[in-house]
Order: sequence, then C-alpha cells, then structure tokens
Amino acid sequence: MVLVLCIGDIHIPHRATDIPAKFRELLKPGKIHHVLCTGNLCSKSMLEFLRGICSDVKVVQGDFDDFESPEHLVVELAGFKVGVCHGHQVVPWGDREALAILQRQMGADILVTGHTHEFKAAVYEELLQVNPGSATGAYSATSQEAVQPSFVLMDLEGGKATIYVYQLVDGEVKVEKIDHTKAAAAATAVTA
Amino acid sequence: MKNILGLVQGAPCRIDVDLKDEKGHRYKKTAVVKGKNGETEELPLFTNHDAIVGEVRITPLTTKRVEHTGIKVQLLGQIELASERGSPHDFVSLVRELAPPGDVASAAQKPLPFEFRNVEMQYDSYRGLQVRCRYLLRVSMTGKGMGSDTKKDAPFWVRNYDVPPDEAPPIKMEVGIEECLHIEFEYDKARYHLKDVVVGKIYFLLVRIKLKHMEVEIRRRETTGAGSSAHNESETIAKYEIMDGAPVRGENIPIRLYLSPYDLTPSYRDVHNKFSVRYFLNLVLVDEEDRRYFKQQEILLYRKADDPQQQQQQQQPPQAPPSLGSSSS
Amino acid sequence: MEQDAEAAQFLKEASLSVKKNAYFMRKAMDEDNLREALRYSAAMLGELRTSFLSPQRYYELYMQVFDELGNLEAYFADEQSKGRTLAELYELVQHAGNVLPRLYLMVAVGCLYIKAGGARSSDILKDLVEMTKGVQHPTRGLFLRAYLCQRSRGLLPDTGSPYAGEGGDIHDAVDFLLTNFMEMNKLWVRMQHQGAPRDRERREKERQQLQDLVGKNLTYISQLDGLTFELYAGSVLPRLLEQVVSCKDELAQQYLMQAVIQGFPDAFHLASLDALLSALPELQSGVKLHAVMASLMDRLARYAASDPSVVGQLLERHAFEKFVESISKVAELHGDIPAVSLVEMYAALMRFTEGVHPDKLENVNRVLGACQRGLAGKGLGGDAKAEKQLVALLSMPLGSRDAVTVLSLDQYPPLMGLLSRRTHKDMALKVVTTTLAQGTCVSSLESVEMLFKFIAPLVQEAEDDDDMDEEDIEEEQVMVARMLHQLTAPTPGLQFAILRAARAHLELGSPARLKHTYPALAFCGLKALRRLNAAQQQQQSGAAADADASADANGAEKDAERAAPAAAPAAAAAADAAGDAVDAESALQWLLDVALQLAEVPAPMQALRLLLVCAHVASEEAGLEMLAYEFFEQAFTLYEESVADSRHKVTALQAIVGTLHRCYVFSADNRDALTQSVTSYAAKLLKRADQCRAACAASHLAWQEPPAAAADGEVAVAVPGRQPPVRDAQKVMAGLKRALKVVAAAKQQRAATARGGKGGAQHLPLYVEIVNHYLYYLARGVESMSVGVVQQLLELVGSELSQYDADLDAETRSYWQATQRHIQCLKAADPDKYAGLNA
Repeated sequence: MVLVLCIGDIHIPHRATDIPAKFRELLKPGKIHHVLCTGNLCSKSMLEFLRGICSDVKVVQGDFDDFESPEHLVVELAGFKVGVCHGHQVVPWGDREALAILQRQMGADILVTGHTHEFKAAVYEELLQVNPGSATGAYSATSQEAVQPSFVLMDLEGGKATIYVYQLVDGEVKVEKIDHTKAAAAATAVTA
Repeated sequence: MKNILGLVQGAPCRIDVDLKDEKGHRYKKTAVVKGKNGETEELPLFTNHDAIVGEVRITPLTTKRVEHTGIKVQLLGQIELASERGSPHDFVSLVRELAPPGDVASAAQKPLPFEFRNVEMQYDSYRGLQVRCRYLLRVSMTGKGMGSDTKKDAPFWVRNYDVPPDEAPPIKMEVGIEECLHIEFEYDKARYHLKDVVVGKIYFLLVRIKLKHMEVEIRRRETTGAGSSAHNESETIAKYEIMDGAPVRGENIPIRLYLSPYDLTPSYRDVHNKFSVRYFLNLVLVDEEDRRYFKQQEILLYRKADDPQQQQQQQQPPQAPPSLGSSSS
Repeated sequence: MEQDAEAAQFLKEASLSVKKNAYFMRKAMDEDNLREALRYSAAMLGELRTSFLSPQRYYELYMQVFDELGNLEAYFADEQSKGRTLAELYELVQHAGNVLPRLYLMVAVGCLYIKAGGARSSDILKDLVEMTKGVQHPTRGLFLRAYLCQRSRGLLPDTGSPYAGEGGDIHDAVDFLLTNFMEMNKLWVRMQHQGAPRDRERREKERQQLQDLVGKNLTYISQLDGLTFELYAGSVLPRLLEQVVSCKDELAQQYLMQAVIQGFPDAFHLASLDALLSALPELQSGVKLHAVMASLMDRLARYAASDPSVVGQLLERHAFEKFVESISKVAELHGDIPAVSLVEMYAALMRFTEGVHPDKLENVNRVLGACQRGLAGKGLGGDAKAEKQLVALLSMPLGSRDAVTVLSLDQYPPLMGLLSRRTHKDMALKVVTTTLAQGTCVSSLESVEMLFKFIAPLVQEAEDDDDMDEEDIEEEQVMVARMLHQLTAPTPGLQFAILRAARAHLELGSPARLKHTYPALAFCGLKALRRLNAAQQQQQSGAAADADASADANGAEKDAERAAPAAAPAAAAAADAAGDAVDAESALQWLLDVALQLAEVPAPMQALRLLLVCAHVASEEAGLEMLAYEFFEQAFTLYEESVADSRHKVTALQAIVGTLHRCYVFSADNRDALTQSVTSYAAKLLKRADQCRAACAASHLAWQEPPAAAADGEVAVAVPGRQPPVRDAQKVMAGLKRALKVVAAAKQQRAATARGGKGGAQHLPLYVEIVNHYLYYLARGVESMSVGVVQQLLELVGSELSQYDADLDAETRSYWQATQRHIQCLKAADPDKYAGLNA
C-alpha cells in the first residue's frame, strides 16, 4: 500500500496564520510515502513543512506561488498515473469537463487539482478527479462560504484507490472514505 | 653489693639505718625523686619539725674483735653548690651518741635507737643544676683502723607545705613591638601550687607579622651567690604549644596549662643566703621566619598539701607580688 | 606540576607515618598501655600539623586519621569501664605538648565524656569550642572544628535530647554550633588573605572545596528539634547575618546566604523576610545578590505552590513589595552593580510574582518598570549576558499570558527599548511567535498600536539590516504577515481601522518587507470586506425578518464570531455607529491602494493577482462594476508594463482569463473591452502553444456558466448590478478559430524551419487540445458547435496525426487515444446526439 498525501492551497502567510493544529498532529513524519502538493504554499517554510512529513514532495505552481515549480506533473504511484496541477489554468475553474481535458492530456488515472478551496472527488468517464481543498481553509474569492480546511490521503494498492478526506468541521477532524477502482479501459489503447 | 665489696676490703661491720614512725613501725612516707639520667629513687619524706626517729643496726662482718671509740648519728642539712663541690655548707647539724666506746660486737647486739625531735628543716630538699639542698642521717663509728667506710649516710627528703596564699590579682599586661605586634596576655593568678593549672589567654591587639605558632614555656632560674657575684642558671622545664597558625587582630587564644606533669618545685626566694629558685612563664611567639618574640613573667609556685592537716603554720609570709613590667610600647 | 608531585609524595609519606603510629597506638591499646597509646596517637595526629597539603589532599589525610581515631575512642570508652574516669582522661590528654593533637584528643574524649553522662554537655562543648581557638591555621582549624562539629552531633543539649536538662538546653546547643560556625567562617575567610595574590584563583577554588565544612554547622542548627521560629528569628538569624555581613568576604557571603536560604525551613524565611532582605544591601558588591534573591524568591514561590495558604501570607507580608524595595536598595547602594546582575534580580522577581501571583498583572508591570528605572542611565552597557537576561525577563510574562494582555503593560516597550536592535528583534519575533502560538486575537486599536511598538524592529528599517539576505527577510516577514490575520476586531468598521493602523506601520518598512506583508494585509482587508457585506445583509434581512436574524447572522458571520466571541452583535453595531463605519467601496479603494503600492515595490505579479482577486470581489461581492473594471484595468497596465517574463505573462493571463470568466457585473461594452484586451494579449504570447491555449481559454469568456451559488440552488445572494451570464456562441467559435489559426501557423513554421527533419510535431497536441474544446462546447450545447463541425475537425486532426505518425510522441498519442475514448463515452451516454461523430 502506498500512502499519498494530497494537499495544497495553504496560502500562508497571505491568507492564513497556520495549518490547523489538529492537522499538524495528524501529519507526523514517517507515515506518508509521497506528498503531492497542488500549489499555493506561498512561503518556503511551508515547503519545508511538507518535506518534514515525507522526503518525497512534488509541488506544482500555484497562481500565488513566487517560487518556480512545474505547471503540472504526472507521477506513477502503485500502478496509477497521477496527474497534479493547481487548476487556476483550467477555465472554467473547477469544471469537471474542463479538467477532464487536462486529465486526458496527461493520461492520468487520477487528477489532483486545487484552487477552488473545496474538497471534491468525482469520477468522470471512469477517471478519478480529486481536489483536496485548502489545508488551512484559506479565504477564497470564488467561495463565499467559510472554507473548511481539508486535505486528502490516498491509499493506492493493486489498482484500488481509497480516498480519505480529512476535514476540519467546527474544530473537529472528520474523515470520509471513498473507494475507487482503476478503469480497465484506460490501460488499453483504442487504436492498435 | 657494696657490703660484699666492703667485706673484701675488710670493713669491720655493716651499718643500717631504719626509720620508725611514732608508733615504732617502719616509716612509710616516701617521696619519689628524680635523679640524674631520668632515674628515680624513693626516699623517706619529712616535713619541717617532724621528729626523725629510728634505730641503727650494726652487723659485724668479721669475727675479729674490733674496738671503736664511739658510735654517733648526725642529722645534717646541707647546701652544696656545684662551684664548691665537696665542701657543702651545713645549715643543720645535730648529733646523737649511739654507743660509748667498746667493741663492735657488743654494739651489734641490739639496735641502737636514736631520736631527733622538732628538727628545724625549713628548706625543702632540692636538686638543681648547680645547687642542691639535701638532708641526711650520717652514722659514723670512730676508732683505730676505722676508715671512711665505717660511715653510713642515709639521705631523706624534706618537703614543706605552704598555706594557700591570699588571692592575688591576675597577671595581666600589654606588650608589643611598635606597629608590628601588640598583644595583651593574662594569667589568672601570679601564684600556683604545683598541681595547679595555669589558665589564661592571649588577646591579639595588632598582628602585622605572620606567626607560625605560640607556646608557653616554664622556665626555672637558679641563682647562686648574691650581688655582683650572683650566678644564674636557667632551664626550660616545659614547652607547651598553645597556638598553631597565624591569628589576626581580635583573636583570643586560650591557655590551659596543667603543671602536674612537670617536675617542679616551689619557688625559693632565698635559701640560707646561698641560692634561690624562681619560675617564669615564658610566652613565645614564633613567626614564619623562625624569629622568636617572647615575654617572660615570673610566677610563684608553692606546695599545697594534699592533706590539709599537713599544712604548717610557720611558713614565710606571702611574698610581695613581683613588680610587673609595663608594656614595652 | 613539580610542586604537585612533591605534595603527592608528601602525602604518601604522611599517610605512611599515620599508619605506622596508628599501628603502635593499637598495639599499646592491646597491651593496655594508656600512656603509650596516647603518645602514639599524638604522634599520629601530629601528621595533621602539616602546611604542605592542599585542602583536597589534607582531607585525604584527615579521613585516614579520622578512622584511626575511631579505634582510640573505643579504647577510651573501655578505659572508663576499667575505672579510669573520663574526667581524668580529659585532663590527661591535655598534657600533650602540641596544640593540634591535643585538641583532637580533647574532642574525642570530651564527646565520650558527655556521652557517658560524666559532664554537662554544655560545659564540655563550651570548653571545646573555646579551646579549639588555639588552632588559627585555616585549613587545620577548619578540619579540627569540622571534627568537633561531627563528633558532637547527637550530643547537644537539644530539646528532647537526653543531654538536655542538667546538661544545658537548646540555647546552649545553638550557642555551641553558632560559635563554631563563626570561628570556622573566620578561618575560612582568612584563607583568602593568605598567600600570594597571584594564587587568588586557586585559593578561591580551594575555599570552595571547604565550604561545606563551614555550612555543616548551619545544617545542624536547622536540624535541632528545639529550634523554634522564635529562637531562629530572635537569636540565630541575627547572629548569623551579623557574621555574614561583618566577614566582608564575597565568597563566604555568597555561600552562606545561600546556605541560610536553603538550610532553614520555608516558613522561617516567610516570617523573617525583613531580616533577610535587610542584610542584602550590606553585603559586598561582588556578591551575586541576584542569585541569592533568586533562591529566596524561588523557594518562597515553591512553598506557595505546595501550600495555598502561603500565597495569602505572602500577600499579607507584602513580600512582593519588599522584594521590589530590596532590589532597588541594593541597586542604589551598589552603584556599580553590573547590569546583568540587576536584570537577573528582576528576572527572579518576575519568576516569583508569576509563580505566586499569576493573576497580578500589575506586579508584572511593576517589575518591568522597576527594572527599567534600575537600568536608566546605564542601560545594558553592551553586555550580551545582561541582554540575554533581559530577554528572559521580558519573555516570562509571554510564557503564561497571551500577548495582548502583556501588550497592555505600559512599562514593557520602554524596557524592551533598552535591548540592542538585534535582540529587540529577537524579542519582537518572540512576541509574534507567542501571538501565533496562542492564537491570540489583537482586537483593539490600542493593542494593535502597542503591538507594533513592540515589534518595531521587525517592521521598520535600520542600518544594520543591510546584512540580511532575502531569505532572512522573508522568514521574518512571513511571521509578521501570519500575525496580521490575528488582528481581528469585533466589528468590520473597527477591523478596517485596525488594518489601516497596521498598514501605517508596515509602510515604514522597506519594499522588500512589504512584498511579504502586504498580500496578507490585503487578504485581511478582503476578509473584512466579506464580514462587512455579511453584516449589512444581516441588517437587511434583520429588518425584513427579525425572527430569523440571529440564526442567519451566526451562520454568515462565522469569522466575526471567531474573532470576538464575547462581542455581541449589538455591541458590534454600536461600535460601528460610533464612527468607524466603512462601506464596501471605500474598503475596495483602500485595497486598490494597497495593491498599487505593492506594484511599486516592485512586485508586479503579486500586485496583479491581488488586483484580480479584488476585481472578482468588487464584481461578485460588492457589485461595483466601475471599481471592478478599474481593478482589471490596473491589472492590465501591470501586465503590459511590468510583467516581462514570458512565463509570468502566461500565468498572469491565465489568472486574468479565469477571473474575468467568473465576473458577472460587467455591461456588454465593458466586458467586450476587457475581453478584447485579453484576446490581444493571448495573441502576443511568445510561444505558439501558449497563444493557442490562451485562445482556447479566452473562448470561455464568451460562454459563462450561471453563478455558482444560484446553480447550487441555494438562496441567491442579491448582488446588485449582476448581469446574466454571457452566452455568445459566435464569439466562442471565433476564439477557437483563433486557436486553430495559431496551430496552422505553427505547422507552417515547423515546415519552414525543420523541412524533412524529424521530431517537429508540436502542433499536433494543440490540435488534439482544440478537438477537446470542441467536444466540450458540443456537450455544453453551444449552438454553432454541431456534430458536423466537430467531425470535420476530427477528420482534419486524424489525417494530420497519420501524416506525422512517425513523429508522434507518446504523450500526444495517448492524448489522442484518450480523446477517442472520450468520444466513445459520449456516444455511449447519448447515442442519438453523438451518432455522427467518428474518431
């Protein structure tokens, strides 16, 4: 089993003071194998924080990041091709079909994006799209609602992905679990 | 053994002197006296005006008939100066005839009693460095062919006891070296009996030298002769360390010196115009460079009777306190 | 070194001699020859008369002798049973000619004498303690008296002891120990003055090795059963202190004050505080009074912690006030007291009051004030230690309280001002860290002003900041920026007042700082604006339906609630009414200022994206078209004039397109104007691929989805001036055509530059991408986008792909396959609609 932390839109110090203490407690070093960050860390210290959780940290460029990272990237994890992109590049923001275009381009079984500060996990044409939301519950111009801090932990094993969503609701951590099986079709080419 | 040697030399008889008490028993009071080379001897002990009673026994050493012209016993008190050895000065000389002229054998038939009553023995027996004062019974037999060996000396010891003197002010004085050392010392008394304890203290008023230690010495000074021909001989009887290390001003050092362990005699002011014995407490301070600073102070020693009845009433009047030197600064 | 070896050799020989004499001594004892036993014991003890050994080595020798003396004591005890009285023995041992052996023997016999009941304990003890004055040599005297102290233990006429009564009483016991203590102390002090001045350090070290010999007396006093407080306060303490003061020795005073404080019970100290404190100013100026006071205060604080009633007693006795007074008196008397000592004293006092009266904030302020006055005129004198202490002192109140409470202390900033800038900065960081760690909200204007006074070195420039590199500044400013989120007033109006105040301070800093702090400041403003809107809506809905008002408000104003849970909405309204009312327009205007100032840093990218966020807010939350337009225009100006890097241009344009797509406030004219700018920017991007993608993205500007909230079917927020979503199929198609043209141009360019060559098929993935956009719009039902149009493009792309099949990279191949699969999915889902599509 491979544990992958998907986290992003931290926006420290622009929009938030800190990662919630209860999240920090959960994010102790030594458990997680890979970190995929959807960007908008906004300060290098947060990058250090992520590296403290696990040495393998992949970050993509957020629209508020001042340090250079790739626009998007694809990684192979436990038989899954996982694409990561912040998502501000995709118009309309957070749109499932628009994101699917990106996902097809990347050839990703799982696409991880952020930007909307809203947790989302959706399957579109058998492909999984995950948005871990904002780990700090940072202010978002597009969402008038108060943002719930959240991140996602993916457990990948043998073509199965278990998505755990950690959300901080009224000061308590709530965890949801979503199971997903990799599409068989994705592996086979249509044209021979 | 002497007697056996005497036999060889042909002495006609042996003379023994036995002292008796009033009841006719053997005289038991003795004094242990230190002799030369640390040896001690035990001598009969008397006090002034004691009766000296006893008998002389003659034991013939030959069956030959020996005639004598008389047997007598002398009681002698002598002062003997080292400077005039061999010619002691007798200040007491009493004699008793023991037997009229006759032969030795008949004199030996029975003990020959003698008796000196109310003998004036005002001076204590004393053995000093250059003078001694001694008492003895001398039995002598005269006659033709009698040598010096038909003479027997029986020494005895005299000790007189003093009345405890009146309270005298303690010895207290301040001495010093200007800008260097000022001390005040105090001995609780000026007079001590021989088993007494000297109690005192030294108060340091100023100390600018590094002292190493401090001791109290008991010194004895014998003086013989008088005036310009007077001769002094001193000896240190005791050294008693009372302080170790360097005190600072304001320190008080206690003194407690037991006199009993030392071979002391009373102070003798004037013994038959021949000599005197005086005692001093000498306070000695030694600095780190082994310089010695001292101050000598006379104390008067007297003998106190262990048994109050022994006290005699006709002792000399208490001596005047010694003139105390004033502080040197 | 040579001397050391010599001393070691000496010790060896002395030790041998002790052994030898001890052997003969024991032999004499076996033969029951008292006189000889005494003679050899005196000879053995005579080895202790040496001046040649350091205290350490002397101690070794002493211990050896001490053990042997044990045998002698047993023998003496035996002698007594044989009929020789201890009185005789006591005299007999005094005949010894040397004072040191004599005194050891006297102590040994004297103690047996007491034990055997032959003499009054107090008499013998008095005699011994007096006679031991005969040893004036410090080391020898100290060990001798230590022996006396040790042997007499348990033989004192302490209350309840068998030696009390006939043998004396507790007063005698105390007198004995005190006298011995005083004599020992005198000897101990004297050591300092003996020997060459150059050996001073060694001497002090040696003295320290001996200190516990002296202190033992005090320990024993404190352990006396009969030691009542009356006796302690009436007799023991005054005499102790008299000795301590009069000895005028730093080392001794230091040690003994500590010994007194540590040795006697807390309750005694509590009740005799005046006496203890009054001694302090009389001690030598080199004595570390701060350590002494710290011990005392720490003890009392611990005492108070263990027994709650003590707190009351401390209050009753004005302990705190006395400490304050005492410290200032000490400072006054020792004009030359080092700053570090002074600060340490106040640090201890701070620890005391924080420990004992954690609720007494005014005490904290008094300590700060007193410390500041104490340092007035002299400052810290550049002493790093003093500074460290001062930091410790200043940190203490922060440890147990939130920063805002500490900020209310008017004596804090002046004291903090004494720190060097660097340290002041460290302290400022600590304040910030504390505020962050505790999640403290700074909610009043005064607190904010005070806070910035505290952290001035973090915010303002100074010369010595030159050596800071970019990273240092970032690290620091990130902290400040994070803290800005904690400035939360109970009302939106007040919130803006606070943010304005914060900005006034931040503005004093260099651009390099603003770059990090201003974005945070701006987002604070945006959050405040959202609260403002929520509050206004609540007022409106409150007017409409009073009953629901409070429930709604609770939901909508979550942030406000978090900021000031205690503040009731009524109070909030009142505060706003009091004059700090603010409207959305002025708030946005302020944000515009902030963004433009950020642009001047220069930080064009930061400013640009901030402007875009503000534009979105102006449009969607405030419904202010002109302002929203203004924000876009300013962003465009920056885009045109200040963003030079091509990659930044791509990113900026993405942000512009994404934001504009979400804005519904614009009239057709304004929207067209903005869209046209975007279109032209897209066309001017450096890379064809970027041009193509930007054109695709820009095509969405003509096809808006309904606003999110309404789409989710929630209560529609009545945003004034909101226009219906734009649905212009023509423009969508035009946009996509532009994208196709770019691809065509790219293809031609490739053909021109890489004729016949391999590896140049970059236009192909763009084709595939455009196909995907076609499919997207087809699915969305854009009228002009028919299956036929899409099929036409598919065929074109299909043929292109097969033409360049050899050059086709894996990614593009996979992209095309995924697109074909997508088409199959579409057909599967809606066979009728997509029947004409064939990949």
